Amino acid sequence: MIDDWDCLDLAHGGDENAWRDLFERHYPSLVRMTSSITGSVETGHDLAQESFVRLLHVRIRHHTGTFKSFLSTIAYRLALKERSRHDSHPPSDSALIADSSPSPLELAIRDDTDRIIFQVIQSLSAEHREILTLRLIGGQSYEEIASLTGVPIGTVKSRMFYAVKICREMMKQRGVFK
Amino acid sequence: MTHPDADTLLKFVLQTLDESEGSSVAEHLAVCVRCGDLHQKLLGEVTRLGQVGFHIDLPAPPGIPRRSRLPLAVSRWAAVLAIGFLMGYLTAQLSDPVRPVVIQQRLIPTRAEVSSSGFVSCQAIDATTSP
Repeated sequence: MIDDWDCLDLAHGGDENAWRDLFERHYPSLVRMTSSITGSVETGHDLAQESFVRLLHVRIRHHTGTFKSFLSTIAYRLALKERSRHDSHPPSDSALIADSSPSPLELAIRDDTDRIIFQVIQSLSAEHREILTLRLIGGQSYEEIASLTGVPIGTVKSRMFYAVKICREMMKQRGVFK
Repeated sequence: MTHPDADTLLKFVLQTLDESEGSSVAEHLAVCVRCGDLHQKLLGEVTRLGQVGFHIDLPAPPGIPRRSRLPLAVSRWAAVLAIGFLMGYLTAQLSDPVRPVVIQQRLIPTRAEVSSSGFVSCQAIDATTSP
C-alpha cells in the first residue's frame, strides 16, 4: 500500500486512483471527527469534503507528522469556523419544533450504543469535546493538540482526563459501561 | 508500589502521567493481576469512545483540478518578466524629456520703456521666452 503522503503527491500530479485511495482511507474518520465537533452529521460530511478540496490546493514542502494528523488539522479548523458561524445564527425554536422526523444522526448512527456514545460526547463542553475528539478520533498527539488549539499541554491533558472521566460516568448511568 | 487508584490508571491509559509516574504504574501492572484487569477495562472503554460507528455512504471524491501544462517555475518566471517589461515601459514614458518653459522677468527696463520724463511705465514687463 502506498504511503498517504506519497498518495497525496501522486494526486497533486493528477493521479485519480491515488486520490480515490486517499479519500476512501480517511473520509469516514474525518466525517466522524467533524460531526462530533459540530454536532451535525450533514455538516460533518460537508466539512470532510471541503477538507479534501483544501488538500488538493495546499502546497506541502515538508511532510511533518502523520498525514492523518495533518488532514485532521484542516478539518478541525473548518469545523471550528462552522461552529462559530452556527453559534451566531442558531436555528429558530419553530424550526426545532417542526422537525420531528428521524435526525440525520439517527440515520447515520444505527447502533444504539454508538448513538449514546455520540450523544454523551456531544453533552461535553466545547473545550472538552474538542480535545477528546482530536485525540480519540483525529489521532493527534497531545503536543499537536496543544499547538492546534493554543492551549498549554498540561491543560490539554487535564481536559482529556476530565472529558473521559465525565463520559465514563455518563455511560455508566446509561448502563453502557459497567 | 501500592495499588494505583482508578484515576491514576485512567491517566496511565490516556498517557497523561509524567514519565516517572507512568513507569512505576507500568511496573506495578506487570505484577498485579487485579490492577491489570482494571487497566484492560479502562483501555477498552477509552478505545470504545473513539469508535462510534457511522454508516457512511462514501461519496465521490472531489475532482482533481486540471493543472497548467507549464511547470510552476516557468509560469513564475514568465510573470516576473512580464511585470519587468511593464515597469520599464511605464518608466520610459514618464521620463520622456519635455522642453522646460522658462519664465523670465526683466527687472531693468529697456530704453523704449522709459518715458521721456524719466519714469518707467507700470505695465507688465514680464515676458515668456524660450531659453
